[in-house]
Amino acid sequence: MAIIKMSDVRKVYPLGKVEVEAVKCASFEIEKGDFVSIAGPSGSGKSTILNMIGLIDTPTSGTVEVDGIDVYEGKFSADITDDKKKKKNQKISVKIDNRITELRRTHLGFIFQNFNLIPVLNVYENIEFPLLLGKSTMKKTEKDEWISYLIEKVGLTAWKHHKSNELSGGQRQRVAIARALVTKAPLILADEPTANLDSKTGDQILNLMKEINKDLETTFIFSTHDAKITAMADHVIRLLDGEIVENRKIENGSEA
Amino acid sequence: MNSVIRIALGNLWEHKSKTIILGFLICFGVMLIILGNGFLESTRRGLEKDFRANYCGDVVIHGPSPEKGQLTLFGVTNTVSMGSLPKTPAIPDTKELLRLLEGVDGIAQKTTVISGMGMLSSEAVPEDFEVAEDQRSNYPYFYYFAGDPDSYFDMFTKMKILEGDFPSRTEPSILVDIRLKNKFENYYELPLAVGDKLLLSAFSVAGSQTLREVSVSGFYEQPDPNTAILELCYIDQNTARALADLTYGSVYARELPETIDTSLSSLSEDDLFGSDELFDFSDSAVLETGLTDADLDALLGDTSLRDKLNMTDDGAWHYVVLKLDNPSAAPVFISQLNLMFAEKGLNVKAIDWKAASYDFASTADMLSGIFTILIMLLAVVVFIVIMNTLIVSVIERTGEIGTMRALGAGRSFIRKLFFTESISITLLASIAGTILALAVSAIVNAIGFSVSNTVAKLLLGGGSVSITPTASSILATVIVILIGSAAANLYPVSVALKITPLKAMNQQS
Repeated sequence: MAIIKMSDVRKVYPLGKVEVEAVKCASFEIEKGDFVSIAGPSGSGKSTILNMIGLIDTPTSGTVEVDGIDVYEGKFSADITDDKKKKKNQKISVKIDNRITELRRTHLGFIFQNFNLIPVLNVYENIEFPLLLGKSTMKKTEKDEWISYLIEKVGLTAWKHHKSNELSGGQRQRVAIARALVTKAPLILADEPTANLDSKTGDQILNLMKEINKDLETTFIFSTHDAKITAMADHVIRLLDGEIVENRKIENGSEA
Repeated sequence: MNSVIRIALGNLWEHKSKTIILGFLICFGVMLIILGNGFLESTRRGLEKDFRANYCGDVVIHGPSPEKGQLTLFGVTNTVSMGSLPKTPAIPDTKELLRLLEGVDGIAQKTTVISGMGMLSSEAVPEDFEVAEDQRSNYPYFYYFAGDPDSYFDMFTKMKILEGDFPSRTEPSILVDIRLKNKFENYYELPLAVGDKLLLSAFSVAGSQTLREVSVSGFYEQPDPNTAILELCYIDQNTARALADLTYGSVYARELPETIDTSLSSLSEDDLFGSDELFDFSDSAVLETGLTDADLDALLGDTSLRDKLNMTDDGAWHYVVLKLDNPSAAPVFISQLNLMFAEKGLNVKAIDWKAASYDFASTADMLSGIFTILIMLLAVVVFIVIMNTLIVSVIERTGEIGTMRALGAGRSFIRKLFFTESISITLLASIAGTILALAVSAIVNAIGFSVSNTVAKLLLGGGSVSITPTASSILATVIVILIGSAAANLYPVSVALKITPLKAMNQQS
């Protein structure tokens, strides 16, 4: 079953008096449990696609479905030429904003290129943070065990009470991975997760993500321009100048 | 909510220098407001206590209200030119009023008062006297009060007689404020002692000057040496009535009989005396008439009525002053009295101490108003600084806010976070500000500052500078600051809520 379905998605950025079409009519599906690489050279639109999948950037047109939910339902049909419709459009915007917030909380986990940990919180608290945002059904002991398991999984047990500025880049990215996993979100998005890491640490992080992908059947989608990373993926979406030039699924080492 | 508090406090700790600067600013603002309020409250209470206990009592009843200005215990408050002071109206029928008040419950003490403003001089002052330049500020003008000798000094007992005695009941005499004695001596370079003769002058509405000679019965000190009231002397009631123009003629206005020729009254002074056309006053003209004094007296006719009308009215008073069994009930009591006066058709009005001491209370109120404006300006500055600091904080934390939004934090979470941060710092700074304000108040009160300048005393409602912050004013200040702080959040929070997670992608952790 598709956890992500994008249909005719376009993204246009205004750049001064001209408009730049960063993504041109992209359509694809991503299955649950996939380890997906969105590849392409710089400026090809891979980060824009990833941002739209993660609901942190809005498409100019087209539909984005997350786990069967049409995220922007109604948004592109509202005409805002008169006041009545403007009000209606505002209501739709608020509804979509709430829907996105809820989906981010329940379905999505993020691993940022720059880690983006909350500086005032320690490792444990950073990982715990997404659980505090929603109505978590986990009991305290269950939550503690789960966070401790994740900390152990990313190899940071000894650093549990350290703040982010006391950690190395690799350690910070491990915290970010654990934080992305803590809500048991079925989909983790990673934007160039190894870009700011040395190659050895980068390999460790990738192996960790792959391991989690297998163990927890979490879907990983990451953008990269590194061929070595793309080689580890079982679904490759390649972009060039905003267009999908390759959408290839690899099953058990052979192409589907 | 715990996570919000934890992150909010963590952020405040993380940005210590900013927290300290902002906290100091709020703390300083709170301290200033509490001290200012404490000072004004102390001034107001001091003024009220002094005036109620020593001059106005709890209720002052005066005669018909003037067309212009406000009638106070110290005369009519109006902008006038020197030499044409508005006349204070007498109570139309004091005996009837006092009789009526006998039947009113709740009055502990009552007395009658005449008041006015005058100037001291002496026959001993040389004709060619010129005041020294540095003594001009000691011009010996003063308020005079004359109370019913049977009740006034039983009601207002706290003055300290330094030398001599109260004014005589029968002889023209004056009990001089010791401050006025000093002024007189400095101004005229003459000593002043008990028994000395003084000339009191007062200006009337017509611009005429009434002059009376009195002897000094004694010197006294005000009950509160730091009182806001200017120099005040007590004189005998007959002299007061003469100075205040409380004659039978002025009190009892009647229609003139038709037999009296009033044609001259339509002419002005210039018409009458500006030329010799109407009357010829030259010696030859007068001698030519061959009139003797007896002839002139006969021409004037019977002057006994005029003489009687020019006599001071023994029963005329400007005010009836009351002290109540329950002073705090004065506002209700005053309303009831005025209703009763209206029902009985008495043209008198009851007022409270504040209205009775208009100039003094209004000056304190004016100072309070200016201070309130300053506080508001300060509050606006603090508000803007807090808002700017929070906006800078929002911009600095774009990545953090965007990350939180990307992780599923709703708008309310971000809102709560910023509100918690600003409310926490405001609360802590307010507590610190309150403690500092209380400490400064204690120090100021312990040292006991006072001012001697007359204008400063008038502005401050007295010479003593004390600060007494009340619990209610402290609470009100903290609440207002908290509301202000919360309001200062609105714009920065709206900026924070516009931050999309997309921005977080490009921010360094």
